[in-house]
Amino acid sequence: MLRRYKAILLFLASLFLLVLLSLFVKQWLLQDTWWLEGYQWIDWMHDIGHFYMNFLSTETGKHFLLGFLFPLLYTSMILTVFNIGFIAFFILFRRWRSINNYVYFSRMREKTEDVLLEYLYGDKDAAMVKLRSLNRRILVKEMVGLRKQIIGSKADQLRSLFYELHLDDFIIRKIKYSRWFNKIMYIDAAQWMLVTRAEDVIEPYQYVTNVYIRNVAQVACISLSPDSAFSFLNVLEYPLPVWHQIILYKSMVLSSVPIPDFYAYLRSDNTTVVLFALNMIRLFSQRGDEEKIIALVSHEDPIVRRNALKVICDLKIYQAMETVKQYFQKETIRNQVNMVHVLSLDKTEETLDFYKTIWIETKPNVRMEILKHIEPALRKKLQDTMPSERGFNETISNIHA
Amino acid sequence: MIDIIFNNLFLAIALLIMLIYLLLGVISLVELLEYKRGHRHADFNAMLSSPLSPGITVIAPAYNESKTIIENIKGLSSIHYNNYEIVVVNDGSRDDTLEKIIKEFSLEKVEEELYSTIPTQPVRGVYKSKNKAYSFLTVVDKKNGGKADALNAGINVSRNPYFVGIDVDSVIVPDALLKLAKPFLSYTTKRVVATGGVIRVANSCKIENGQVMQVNVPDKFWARFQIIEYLRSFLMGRMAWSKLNGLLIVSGALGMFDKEVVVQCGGYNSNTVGEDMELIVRMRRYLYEQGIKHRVVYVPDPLCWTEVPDNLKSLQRQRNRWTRGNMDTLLIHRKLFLNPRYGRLGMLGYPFWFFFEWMAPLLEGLGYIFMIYLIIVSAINLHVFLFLLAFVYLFSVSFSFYAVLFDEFTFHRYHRFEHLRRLFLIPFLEPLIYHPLNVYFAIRGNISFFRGNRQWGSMDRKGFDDKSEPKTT
Repeated sequence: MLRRYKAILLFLASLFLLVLLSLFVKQWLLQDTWWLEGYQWIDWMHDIGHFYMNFLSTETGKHFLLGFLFPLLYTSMILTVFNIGFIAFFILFRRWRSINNYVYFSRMREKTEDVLLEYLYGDKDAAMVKLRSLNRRILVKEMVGLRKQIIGSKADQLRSLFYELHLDDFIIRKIKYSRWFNKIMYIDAAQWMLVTRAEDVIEPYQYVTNVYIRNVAQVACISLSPDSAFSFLNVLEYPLPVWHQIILYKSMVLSSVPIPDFYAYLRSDNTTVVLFALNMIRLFSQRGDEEKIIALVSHEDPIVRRNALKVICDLKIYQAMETVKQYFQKETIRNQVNMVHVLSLDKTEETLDFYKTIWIETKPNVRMEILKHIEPALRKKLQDTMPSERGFNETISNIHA
Repeated sequence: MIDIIFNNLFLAIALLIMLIYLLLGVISLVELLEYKRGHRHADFNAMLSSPLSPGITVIAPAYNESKTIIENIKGLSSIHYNNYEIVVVNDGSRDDTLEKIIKEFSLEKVEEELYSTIPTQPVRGVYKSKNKAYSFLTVVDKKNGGKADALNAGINVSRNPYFVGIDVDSVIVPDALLKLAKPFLSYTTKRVVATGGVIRVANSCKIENGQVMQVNVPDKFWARFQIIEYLRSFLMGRMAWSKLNGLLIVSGALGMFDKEVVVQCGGYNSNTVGEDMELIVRMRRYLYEQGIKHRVVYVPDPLCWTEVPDNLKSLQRQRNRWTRGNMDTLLIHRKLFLNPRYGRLGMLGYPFWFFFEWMAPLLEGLGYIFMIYLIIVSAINLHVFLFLLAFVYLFSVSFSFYAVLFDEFTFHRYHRFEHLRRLFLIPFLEPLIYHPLNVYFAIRGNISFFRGNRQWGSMDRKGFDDKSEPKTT
């Protein structure tokens, strides 16, 4: 809740501080003298403000708003002057620091990489001594980076090194206590280094409101607990956007986790989980209770229906034909196009008869899609049976143009 | 009595404006930091190999682009994405744009089924390459109808659920599609219908093979002013409006759209010069009327580099057109004004644009005239005037500095000390030179609009290659 309104709260807090400060400034300006009186380099600020305070007190009728707000405006003005200087200095300082940091971290990274390679392919003992003295954050980053590029025995060796250096304890502590954007990095490290002890810490993050952490935690749990890899899908209240589905799919392909039976999720109350299950069934060509997929042709969500139709088409589920025909007229145009793709699996006279019955009420672009997806012989028949229909002829001429 | 009301009313309005800008600045900062932190470890490469990544069509309208078209298409072909097509629409060019593309990419006329979902000027032909290496390229040749009409023709040929509208002479960064597509794939409760990216100034930058190789601050002051202006507008303005879900515009130079919604709304409006803004407002209006929860998202990454006017004449034409486009859209969709039915669009976005983009320059112009009058009749209170002038000037300068700071915090594309030295001078000059000129151009735009001017005008583009001759688009 607080995170959502962070900007507004920050703005209000700044205004409040400004008002508070302006009360002090008002008192300061009302004094004829102050403790730095006579120091020209700073006294001019007081003199100008003091002059205006006196001047506006004589003009209260004309400039009552300015008179009332003057201390606030004058405070903002002073702050602004300092601010401009501060920002300019800060930008230059940050630039200088970032250049130095870049050089430092590049050197550190190179050094870490060299030592890691020495450990994997050279003198282990010497490398081990050096590794213990390196920055752990950089070490974790580099080890995870390297782990993503190698497989086999060297990957196992790298993982043992990770434990030997007690980096597992380090990342578990970091997952618990660091800020949310750093947690992401350490959860990712736990996944790649298979730190199973971290699972208990990561598991609750699968259900948090922060989408970035939620996604990385779900992916991590797939690798860390293969037995209950997708259990979060049963209880997930938040939507599972396509982006998360892409990341989950990638981690499934890369890991050796057995692919679960996605048919089990087709009746989930969470529509996005159903979509994910349909996508995975299609991509992994998973066979199962096809009736469950056919039932989704009449789902209330058009995107679920569209995805169900794609699965039917890809898996060639012939039993779905009657249901598809039954719901054809009630569908959106985009889904009707998908239905045409499904019906193109069935190249019989029955389909032709079906098209004849729905032809007049069908939109031109769907008709064109129908013509593209039927056998040339059937197309000819369709043309012959309805030669007088104007829209049909236009469509035909368009497709042959 | 009147002067008392005037004095206090003007001050109240000025303070309110400043507070609103400050609030937008704070919202932008929080959003930028959140975006930066959240995407630090985002695996965009997952999209490159995923069969779940949606198809995207890049539509590039071209009119008399003969000199640069080949390089521009080659630049577009280096985009990092696995499932995209490029549709170049030759909008009735009078030079040899089409011939050059046909020759370079070995194109041949194909029998393409055009659904003609959106009406356009007649299409003379659709071309595809005989060479499989260029299978991603489709060229549509049509009768001239303007940029909006060309984009509509591109939408008609597009085969993907999303499309990106670009200016063919802009430089698109290689990962632009990945960054623009992510919000479409990440939405949870509100459907994302359009995304836009930050546009950066390409003048004086080193461009090779359609990519920015070295970022530079422009040599000419007019272009330098626009760097600060763009930073302020994109990083401090649109980011905040994106968060508030009150965005009314996605830049015509680079914007990605949900094709289904665009087609349902009838595509781009060819009768306005502000077709980019008009489309967004129409889409959002339609979705509000349908009761569909939606969002227009701004991606703060610098995704597109474009050449901006570097002389007064071109700048005036551009600002004139922007003003007319803005007014046109606001008038077409006047029903939105403070209409609670249209949510934040009607209650926040539209009124902001009405007062701050349309009315503010007019009010400011009036203010200048009034000030001159008061000076002439010696009715001005010099002390009050000087104080307020200094206050507004310093506020404006600090706001521009904040824009540079935001860039530094996030993407710091101007990374050399030399760049910063050049940029630091601009905020001090801008309120004195560039801003009053912009007010003047906006007033001229208002006059042109009411005179019925609906022309695009032209801009002298020099191209990114120093050796090439200036061309007019």
